Amino acid sequence: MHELSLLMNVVEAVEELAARESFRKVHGLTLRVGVLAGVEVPALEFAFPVATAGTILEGAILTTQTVPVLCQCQDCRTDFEPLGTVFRCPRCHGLRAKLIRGQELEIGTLEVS
Amino acid sequence: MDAETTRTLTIKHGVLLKNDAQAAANRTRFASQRLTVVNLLSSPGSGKTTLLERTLVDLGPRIPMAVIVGDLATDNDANRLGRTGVPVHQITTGTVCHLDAAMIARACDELSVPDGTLLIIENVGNLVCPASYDLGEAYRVVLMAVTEGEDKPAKYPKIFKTADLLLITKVDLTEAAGFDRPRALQTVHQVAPQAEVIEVSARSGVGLERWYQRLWEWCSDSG
Repeated sequence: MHELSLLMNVVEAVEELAARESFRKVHGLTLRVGVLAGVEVPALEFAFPVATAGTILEGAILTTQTVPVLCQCQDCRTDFEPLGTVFRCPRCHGLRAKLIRGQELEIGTLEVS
Repeated sequence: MDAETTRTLTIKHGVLLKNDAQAAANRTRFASQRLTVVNLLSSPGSGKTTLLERTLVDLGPRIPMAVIVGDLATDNDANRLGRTGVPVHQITTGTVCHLDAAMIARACDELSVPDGTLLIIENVGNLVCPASYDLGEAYRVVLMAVTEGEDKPAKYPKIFKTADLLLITKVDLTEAAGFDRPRALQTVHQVAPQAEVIEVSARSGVGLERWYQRLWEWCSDSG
């Protein structure tokens, strides 16, 4: 349950951005959440009003986008989206998969004024 | 909304960038001091403190060691480990479920570890949150006790997929716990094929020499 501290990082990053990009209010925020980010979206949604109260993000609408896992097989170089937690290459059945996408937690877009 | 126009910014800013930057700074500092830093992760009750206690007693006289312990509330673990004579620094995280890179940087300032030390960080007992926080460690060691069942890696893939070494602990209890060893090893191999596996018991001493050997080699690599 580290969603609240993650959101505090979000608030901090957005406030720094506000100074650089000169906006005063955030109306909407999209977070891209990888399936392997270790983040629970309902917990994010629950913590969002608490973490943003009294900040530039207060009242903003939170939208989350799930980012599926993408791997590359290190034996035959096939890119694939694994099913479940075993990253087995569908082509050569090898297990040496490198994670390309799906761990990220990032701010995608901001609606600002 | 007032007459002010709203605009959309596309930014792609990683939420953990700050922690990652601090972890990189920690890594540089560790390298300059020739510290070998190991991050020890597991669920609560998997035997991190007991294994560490024994490791400090057995290895402390042979390698300079120090420990940073993260705990939510008490300093019981730090007290237990401190009795071994190895320097121990306690981080009480309060309600925070993980250690982050900035906490480690502050702890290192206070602990003033001599060059060439093996620094072991005992993370907060939790298999979810600590997985996301790079501390600047060189090696990640994940523990899984036979009493936890065989399917921990399948339930918490992220932490197991980032492990350099997996210690299966409390193997003296294998039979009593009804632990299906072949199934567990197969699950580990499938979910975390990159991880080396060592089976240990801090109580009986099984497997400890291999664990110490690995730590010894890691220290030689950083020295």
